[in-house]
Amino acid sequence: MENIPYREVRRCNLSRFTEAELAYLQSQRLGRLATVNKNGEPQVAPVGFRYNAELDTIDIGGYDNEKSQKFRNIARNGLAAFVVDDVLPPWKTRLLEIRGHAEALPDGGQEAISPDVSPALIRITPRRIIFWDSTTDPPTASKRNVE
Amino acid sequence: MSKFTEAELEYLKTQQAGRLATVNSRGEPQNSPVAFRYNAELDTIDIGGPNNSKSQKYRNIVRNGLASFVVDDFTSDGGRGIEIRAHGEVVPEGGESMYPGWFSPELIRLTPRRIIAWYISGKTLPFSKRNVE
Repeated sequence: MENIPYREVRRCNLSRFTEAELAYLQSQRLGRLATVNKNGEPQVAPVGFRYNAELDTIDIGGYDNEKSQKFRNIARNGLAAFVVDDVLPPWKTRLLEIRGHAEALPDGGQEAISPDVSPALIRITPRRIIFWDSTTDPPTASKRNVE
Repeated sequence: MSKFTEAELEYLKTQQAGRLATVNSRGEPQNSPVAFRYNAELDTIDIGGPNNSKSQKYRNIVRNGLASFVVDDFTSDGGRGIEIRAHGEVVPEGGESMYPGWFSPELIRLTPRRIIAWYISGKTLPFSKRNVE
């Protein structure tokens, strides 16, 4: 899967993300994924991800991905919230939360993440995006529905 | 006696932030980075924040008490961390001491129900999954 540079996506006006959000996503490799089980209870786990520029989605892989509770939760109900965040000195926080519709797919994981992980892939299509970046002056803040 | 092992408590003390998942009125998850501390007196995880009671996660906890909290990081040996599935409640005071002048008094308090830990107890016990209530 060939990654289109985010600037081209932006120019084509295809992405639900802003340029700053895409730049942040592409600078990070780890996020945390929240899903919901059949009893309606949440779980949350660190995961490796890539921004998929072709589909404008977040693609998430992992070791034994298809056996994981999060994968089975998503196969059951499609519910997911994914957050990428970090802190730069001195206490400059950045955060991108993506609430969306998630799919549990049988393959694509190794191409998206690494040959070491399993083929199974979680794909999130954004429905709501929340962005905060206090490294800019003034801080950048956005909350919006994107579907 | 704590529901956490000594190694888990030591690990929690080395970390300042985690990610809290809650569930809204429609059953949908949300996910936020938060500052926390282990409350040794009550054996709970206490979570503070600026304008904490105005946040969606706080209102979600008030409504349904559902929470899962993960603390994790990377070392030269790879990833490690702990997930705490919990009963969440809100308490009106105590949060301001976490970051005086910034955090509001209201706290989210998590009582562990299930603990999942990986690689924080050393390679001899890489995984632990257990109910603790």
